[in-house]
Amino acid sequence: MTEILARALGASRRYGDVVALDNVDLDVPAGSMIGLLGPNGAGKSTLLNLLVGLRRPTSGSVELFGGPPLDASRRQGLGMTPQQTGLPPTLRVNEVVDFVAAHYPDPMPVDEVLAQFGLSDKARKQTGALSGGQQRRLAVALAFVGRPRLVVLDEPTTGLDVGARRTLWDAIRTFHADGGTVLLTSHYLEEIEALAERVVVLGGGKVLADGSVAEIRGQLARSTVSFRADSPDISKLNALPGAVAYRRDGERHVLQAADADELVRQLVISGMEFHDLEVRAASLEEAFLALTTTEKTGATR
Amino acid sequence: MNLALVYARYQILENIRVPIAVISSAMFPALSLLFFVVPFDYAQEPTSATTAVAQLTVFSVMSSMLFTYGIGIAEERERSWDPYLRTLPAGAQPRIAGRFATGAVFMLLGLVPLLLVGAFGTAATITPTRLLLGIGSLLIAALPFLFGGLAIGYSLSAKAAGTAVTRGAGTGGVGVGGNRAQHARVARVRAVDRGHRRSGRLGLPPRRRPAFPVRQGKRQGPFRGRPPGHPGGWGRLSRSRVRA
Repeated sequence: MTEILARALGASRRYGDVVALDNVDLDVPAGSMIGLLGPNGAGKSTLLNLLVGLRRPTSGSVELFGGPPLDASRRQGLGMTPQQTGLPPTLRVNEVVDFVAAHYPDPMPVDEVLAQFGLSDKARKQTGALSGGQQRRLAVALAFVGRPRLVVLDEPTTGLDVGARRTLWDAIRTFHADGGTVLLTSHYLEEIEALAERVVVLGGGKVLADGSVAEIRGQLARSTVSFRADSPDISKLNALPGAVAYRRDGERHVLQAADADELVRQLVISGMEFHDLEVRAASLEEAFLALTTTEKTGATR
Repeated sequence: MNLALVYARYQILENIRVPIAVISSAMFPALSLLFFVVPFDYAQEPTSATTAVAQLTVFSVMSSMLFTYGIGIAEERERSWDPYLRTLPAGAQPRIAGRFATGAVFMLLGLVPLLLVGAFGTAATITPTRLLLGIGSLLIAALPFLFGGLAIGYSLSAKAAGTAVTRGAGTGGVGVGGNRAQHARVARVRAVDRGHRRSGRLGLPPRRRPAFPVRQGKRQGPFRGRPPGHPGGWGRLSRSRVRA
């Protein structure tokens, strides 16, 4: 059985009247790469804060490396990155890395860290003089300085350009390939899709779905069929057998169906004029939107 | 390296890279001495000058404690760096110890200009032993302000802490006022002494005795009339300037 590096058991957290996290169970096994997804206020950061020992759960329990995360020695194998860049502006880049490295028994050499994150030529600069993207990269680099077993990344690539994002993804993948465990949140579904093996969808403080990227997509079990048409009969489109939803996206008419092949067959049989047909599987984004919006309407009902 | 030392080192580095903050906090008590003590006669009396310097050291310690801890901690807590530090595998001890060391360093640093002005600008005197004893007692006297600063820093937002500390320093202004009152008292006691010696009788000195040495009219300190050896004629100089 693989070792569980971090675990939440029925963890709840309240801020006054607001329930930020409601009875959440989560296991982070060694060697996994988990993406936490959820809209703003879903409880992602709260869950991370509980797991790394920044806050205590109101009820339930959390464990880090088999013990309470508030115990400093438990955090020896943890690497974390600050959510916004809040680096001490007057310290130099190499000083910040040195400072963090001093906390760990066997840290990476400063040069190696900076080289991996493309900051070698910035070592003597004060962090306040770095660009936003460079600060972000340094902040993420700090998570890896202590050769941790588990890295927790809260929105690691927010505010980065495409090139810098790829550099970071490579660093995260390398770390994972060497046996490291990663727990990350992101607003970019593309990022979760590119990195995570397992996706946990949070909404309203609860776990809505937990599975591989393919499984989460499959939960929606829908494909999208879209085409252009000059004068379509909307009522006829809705009446097509197998079509579960219709919407218009600019000039394109978009139908969703559990069985795309059947829908296309029916479309042809109906004799309706169409062109530029496109069939694709639902993206993680669509699955995510479907999951989180059902949760919302379910709550109001 | 000891983690507390690491924290102290980087906190000192962080602060010292903003020299204006360090200099202004270190210069303020020295400037108070320069403006409110040095120009007056009692700066030439060893006892009252020494007392004035000693009192300002207490004021300096108070303000540096309240500022470093009160405002400093409140500001740090508002940056996301602070929660990040709490995820590092170190307990609160090295951070707190480092903070104390940083505070002590800047406190002692703030005393240097004050002691220099005291030594060279006034008649204040002290033996090395008493200086060490004085610094020792200052460290103890700093504790209530340290705790006050910690309480402000950890309970208020940076803005509120700023107000609280400035009000605290405002009461420190009372300390400077008390300083002057103290001088008046010292001067009065001396006047009593002199009166007694002259008249050879006991009891209260005559009422008309000056209560404040400044008014005695003797030109002693700097800024008091023309400097010795001056040819005179400030007035003529200014008149000629006006004409030109």
